Amino acid sequence: MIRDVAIAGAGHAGIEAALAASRKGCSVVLITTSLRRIGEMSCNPAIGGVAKGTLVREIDVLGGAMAESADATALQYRMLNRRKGPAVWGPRVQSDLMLYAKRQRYLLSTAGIDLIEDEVVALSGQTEHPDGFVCRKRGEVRARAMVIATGTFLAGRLFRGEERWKGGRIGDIAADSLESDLRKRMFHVKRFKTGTPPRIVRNTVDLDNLDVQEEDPVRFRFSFREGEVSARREKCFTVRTCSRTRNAAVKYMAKSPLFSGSIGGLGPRYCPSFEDKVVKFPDRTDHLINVEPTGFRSRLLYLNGLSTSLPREAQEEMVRSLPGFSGALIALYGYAVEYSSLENSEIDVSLRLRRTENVFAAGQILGTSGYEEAAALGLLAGANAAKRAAGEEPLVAPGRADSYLGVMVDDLVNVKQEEPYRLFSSRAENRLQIRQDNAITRLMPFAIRLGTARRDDIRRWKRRERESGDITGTLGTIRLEGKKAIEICRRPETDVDRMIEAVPILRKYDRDTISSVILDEKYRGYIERSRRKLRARDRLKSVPLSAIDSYMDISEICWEAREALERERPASLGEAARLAGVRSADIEGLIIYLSRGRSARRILRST
Amino acid sequence: MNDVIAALATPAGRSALAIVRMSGQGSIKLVESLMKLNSGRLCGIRRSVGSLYRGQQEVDSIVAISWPEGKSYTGEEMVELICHGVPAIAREILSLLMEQGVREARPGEFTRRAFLSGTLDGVDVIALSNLWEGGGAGIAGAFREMANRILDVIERAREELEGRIEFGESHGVGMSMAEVEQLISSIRDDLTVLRSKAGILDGRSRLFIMGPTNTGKSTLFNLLAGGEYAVVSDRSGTTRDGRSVEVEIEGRSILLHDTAGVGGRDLDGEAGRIVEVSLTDADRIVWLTDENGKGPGAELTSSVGDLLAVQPMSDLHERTGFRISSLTGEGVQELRSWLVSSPGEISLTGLALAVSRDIDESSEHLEAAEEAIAASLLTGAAERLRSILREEELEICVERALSKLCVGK
Repeated sequence: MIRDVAIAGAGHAGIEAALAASRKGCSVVLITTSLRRIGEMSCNPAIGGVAKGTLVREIDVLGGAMAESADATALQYRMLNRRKGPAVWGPRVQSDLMLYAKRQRYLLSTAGIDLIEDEVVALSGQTEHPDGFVCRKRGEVRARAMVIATGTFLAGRLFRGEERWKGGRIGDIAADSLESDLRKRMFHVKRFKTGTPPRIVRNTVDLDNLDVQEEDPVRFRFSFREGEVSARREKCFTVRTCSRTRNAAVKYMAKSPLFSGSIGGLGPRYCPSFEDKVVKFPDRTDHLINVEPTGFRSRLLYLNGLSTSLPREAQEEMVRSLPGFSGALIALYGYAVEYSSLENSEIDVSLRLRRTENVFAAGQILGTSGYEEAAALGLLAGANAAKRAAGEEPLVAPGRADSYLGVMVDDLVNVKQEEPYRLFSSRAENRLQIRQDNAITRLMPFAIRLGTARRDDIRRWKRRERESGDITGTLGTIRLEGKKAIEICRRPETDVDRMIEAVPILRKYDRDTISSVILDEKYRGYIERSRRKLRARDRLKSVPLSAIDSYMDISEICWEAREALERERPASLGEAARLAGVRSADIEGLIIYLSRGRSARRILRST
Repeated sequence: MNDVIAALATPAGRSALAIVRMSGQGSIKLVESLMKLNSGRLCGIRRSVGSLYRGQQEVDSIVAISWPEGKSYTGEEMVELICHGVPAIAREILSLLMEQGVREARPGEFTRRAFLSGTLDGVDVIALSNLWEGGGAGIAGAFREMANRILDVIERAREELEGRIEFGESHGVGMSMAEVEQLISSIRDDLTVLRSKAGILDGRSRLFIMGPTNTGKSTLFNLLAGGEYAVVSDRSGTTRDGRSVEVEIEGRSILLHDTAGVGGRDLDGEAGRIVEVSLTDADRIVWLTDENGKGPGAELTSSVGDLLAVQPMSDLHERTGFRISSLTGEGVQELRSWLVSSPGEISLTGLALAVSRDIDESSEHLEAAEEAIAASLLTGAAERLRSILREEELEICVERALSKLCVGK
C-alpha cells in the first residue's frame, strides 16, 4: 500500500509535519524508534521566548499544534522583555513535559495518522525520486512523498567527560544506518554538538531559600483560538552559582567534550554550555541559573543555564555548590550529543532536498536547535510533502521581511551555519514589524495558500482585518490636541489604554487589535526603512555575473572562491553567495570588482 | 585596455624644467623608440639621459624616468619626461607623442587610474584633491582612524543591547543599561571631531542663492551666514553686486554667494550678467521662487548639478512645496541640513552627520526603553561608517574629488 506522506521521526518537527499533511487530506504514516517517547521535550521544559515565542504564534496561525498544546499544559506564563518595547516581547510558558507529549500523541491518533515503531535505515529506490523508507523490521514503507525529521539521531554520539556511547538522545538509539545511507547517496553532512543540563530530584533540594520567579500578572495565551488553558501552576526558582561552581568547572575543563572554544559568531553572551560561560566571563562567578520543574508536581527539576558535558564528578561538585543544593541528588547527568546534520546546500527554500523531487527535511537535521524552530520547519515540510504527493508544486517559505519562519528558512538555505541555528530577534531586520502581537496579519495569507489554515481561523482573521481597517480609519479622522490621533500613536508614551481612554469610541473593538494598529504606526518609519534595505539587498542578489569572463584573476576574492565560481559559473550574485567556498567577504570583493569596471557599474546602478 | 595618455604635469609658463607625464601600457616602448634607445633600456625603474627625436630631428634633450606596471602611481607603465621649461618645447613634445597615437589626458585622469588600480583608496583621492585646494595633508589617515574607533564602540554597544534583548531575563551577564548609555555618550565628542574632519576632506562647497528680485535672498543669506553681510531693504534691487562669505555649517565649509535678482531694471540686468558669468563655479543653487512660483529656467537647471527650489516667505504667502520663512524660521533647519549633506548623502560630511543623528536618536530610544529601535539605529550607524571606510560607496565622493583636479594630475 502506498501512502501519501511518510515521516521519519516523531519529535516536534515530525509531529507538526504529520498533522499538517493530515490536515491537507493526506494518508500519513509516522515512523519512530520509540512510540512512548513521541513529543518528548529533550531539554528545556518550556516553550517560547524572545523570537521563539513569536514563531510559536506563527505556527498557530499556520494551523499547527504547538501553541494550543503549550496552553493546555502550561505551568507558568511569562512575557519576556515586558518592560522593554513591544517589538521584543517574547511569550513563554513553562510546560509539563509528560502532559505535553501525551497531548501531542493524542492529536496524532485522533488525526488518523498511522504510527509505526521501527527504525528507518535507508531511503528506498533512486535518490532523485525515492519510493519510500526502508525500515529495519518491516522493510519498505512506500509513500509518494517523504519528510526526514530525525533530530539529533543521525549517527548520534553521546559524551560526558570521558564517557562515550552511541545514541540520538539518552536512552535512544543512534540512526547510524540512515546516516550512512545518506552519505552513500552523496548528501553532504556536517557534525554539530549540543548539550543538556542535569536533572535533579526535587525533594532533595531546599527550595524554601531560593528566589521565586513569579508568573506575569499579564495574562496571555499562545493560541488565539478559544482552546483549553491549563489551570495547573508551578513555581520556578532562580539561584546563582558561586566560585566553587566555577572552580569545579575549571578543574575538569580539559575533560569537556562540549566546549570547543570556537563558538563566537553570535557574540559573547550566547553561551550554549556552562563551560562557555566560565571561559567567556572568567571573572564572574555568579551566573544565574533558572530552576524549573519538569512538570506539575514533578519529581525532577531542570537546571536551565547549567548545560554541560563535564564528567559526573564535576557535575556533582557544581550542583552541590549551589545554595540549597548541598544534599541534591542528580537523577540524570548532563551530557552532550554530537550528530550529523545536512549542509545548507542540500535544501531549497521549500525545504525540499534539492537532489530529490519528493523528499523534504525539517528540524535539527537541518542544523536548527529548539522545539519551536523544529515545529515550524516541520509544518512547512509536511505541508509541502502533501502538496508534492498531490502532484502540486511545493510552496516557497514566506519572505524574511514578514515572519520569523521566513528569516529562519532564508538563513538556513542561504547561509552556511557554523553552529546549531537558534532564532534570535536580531536575525530579523524587520523585527519591529515581525511581532508576537500580529502573527495572524502577517501569515494568514500564506497559511491559506499552504492549505493548512483552519476554517475558523480564516473567519477570525477576516474579522480582525476588518476591525483593523476600521480602527485605522477612526484614528485617522479623530483629532486629539490639535493633531490626528494616528500621529499621536507615534509618540513613545502612547499605549493602548491611554488611547482608548482618549478615544472612547474605540472601546467596541478588540483591545489586542487596537494595540497592534498603534504599534504598527509607532514603528512605521523604522519598518519602512528596514523593508527598503531588504529590497535593496534583494536587488543586489539579482546582479548578473554574465559580464565576468574569468574569476581566476580577480584579486579581491580568495583562491577557493575563484575556483568555486569558475567551476559553477553562477548567474547572479545571489547564486554565487550560496556556493560552498564563497564567503561573504568574497561577495563583497566581487561587488568591489564589479563596481570598478565601467560597464558593470552601470549594471549595479540600474538595480 | 587603457589608452596611453600624456599631459604636462607642471604649470604652463617658463621655468628651468617641465615634466610631461605618460601612463599606459606601451608607453615605455614608445619612449625607447623616440629616444632611439635599445629595446629594454627603460625596463624596470630606470632613468635615461638622452634626447627625444622626431625622425632625425632632435626635439629636446631630456631625462626619462620609467616605472613598470604595478610599481607606478597609476599602477600602469609610466614614463615621466623631464624637459626644458619652455612652453614651446613642452607643446612640441606633446604633439610628438600625439602623432604616435598617445592621447591627451583628461583632468584628473592619472589619479583616476591610480584609484581604479588600487594604488590609492577613496579616502586618499579625496585627501589629495583637497590638498590642491589648500587643505592639510594627513587628514585621510586621521579620519579613518577616528571612524574605526567610533565603529568599534558602536559595535560593542549594539552587541550589549542585543544581548540584553535576547538574554536579559535568563543570564543577567553583561553591562547594565546605564553602562550602555554611557558607552554611547562617550563617542559624542569623537563624532563632532569626525564631522569636522569630514568637512575638511569634502572641501568647500560653493552655494549660490538666486531668484527673482525681492524674494528674500539677502535675508536668507544673512540668516545662513549669521551676520549682516548683505544689505537688506524693502526697496527692490538693493543688492547690487554679489556678496560672498565663507561660513561653516555643522562642520562643513560653505562659500555663500548672494546674487542680484535675475530680471528687473537695467542696473539689476548688469549685475545679473556678472552673476551668470561666475555661475560656472557654482556647486549648488538655492533658487527662491516668487509669488507666481516662477522657477529657474531649464538652462540653469541642467547646467548646475544641484538645485533646490524653495518657496520663501511662507509667513506671508500660502505656499506648497519646500517652504521657508526667514522670519518664523520654518524650513531653515531643513535647508541647513540639505546644505551640509547632498543628494543621497554623497559627501563625507553628510554621512558623518547621518551617523551622529542615528546615535542621538538611539540614545533617545534607550531612554524610552525601546531597545530594539536603539539597536537598529546603531546597526544603521555602523553600516554607514563601514561604507565610508569601504571603497565602492565612497566612489561618488571620489568622482567629485577627481573632477576638481586639473590636467596632469
